[in-house]
Amino acid sequence: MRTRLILIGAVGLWCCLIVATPLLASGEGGLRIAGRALYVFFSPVCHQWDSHSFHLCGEKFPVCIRCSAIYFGFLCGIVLYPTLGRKIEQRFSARTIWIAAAAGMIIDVALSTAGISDSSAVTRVFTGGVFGILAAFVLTSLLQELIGSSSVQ
Amino acid sequence: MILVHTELLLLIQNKIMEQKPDPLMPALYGGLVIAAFWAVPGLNLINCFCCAGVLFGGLLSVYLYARDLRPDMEPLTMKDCLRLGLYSGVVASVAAVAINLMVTMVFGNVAIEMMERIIRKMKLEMPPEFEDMISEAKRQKISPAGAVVSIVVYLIPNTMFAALGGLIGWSLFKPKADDSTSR
Repeated sequence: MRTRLILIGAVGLWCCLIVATPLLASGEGGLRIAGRALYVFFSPVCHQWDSHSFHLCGEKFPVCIRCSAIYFGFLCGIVLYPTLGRKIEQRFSARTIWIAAAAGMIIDVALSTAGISDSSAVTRVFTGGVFGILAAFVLTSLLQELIGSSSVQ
Repeated sequence: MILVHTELLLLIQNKIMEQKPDPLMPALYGGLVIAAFWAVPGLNLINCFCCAGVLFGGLLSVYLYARDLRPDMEPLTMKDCLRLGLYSGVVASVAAVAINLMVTMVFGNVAIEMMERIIRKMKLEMPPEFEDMISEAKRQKISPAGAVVSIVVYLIPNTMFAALGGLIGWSLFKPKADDSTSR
């Protein structure tokens, strides 16, 4: 339970930083500088295109809609792990879960790149969210084991 | 008596088991692949998707390491995978900046122009910000201080996501429960 709380705390902090960035950047003085620093921090992780991002207080999130959905989905996945995730993890192999997680996003990106159908905010949130949740179902037990073993040492 | 005997056998078996291969080479390959994902024009767009190239590099290093493990060696552990991911991330941060510097010094901003040409040729629909990003990249000058800052900025996501890639590798390549070599 303790390891799961640490994990939720760490991923929650990451998600909080995503939401805090536009809030800080829309502020004045030091807050604005902190917001800009967070944009730089997240810049290697995502393209940060304005048109592909959620906005808060007139400023964009430091990661795009799809990435935001993945991270928040991951957080939801950790929370849902004891009730739903463990069952899925026991029933399917990790490989199957990874393929199922990535399939939606790959199809969405491929259709959009080929010009067959435009990916919208809804498809990005859905496919990213599913990926994040399923990724958490595979990785939660591993991360918990890791936190547990390092705290014992 | 039997317990002592079994423990002795296990001890002897552990002594006989060969040491694991050096993790540095797989980590180096993984790191160089990540660096290529950062430095090669066109290919670097993959990292726009939650550092997918970095995750892949961490995963690749675990795959290469697991491939080198023989049955008479100690089995793969999660800590090995995590270590491989972290090493790959560190290698990648330094290598990506070094490759970028070399390409810019030798060819100028040809890499950016090449990426622009590839995208135009593929007729990919890019958002308006892409133009700004390209023109800003063309304006950038190289400096030693800039290189150090780049390594630091890239070190955090590289080590974090490559370690995550290592964990994904563990979920895929971990020894099966019925495997005699697993623990």
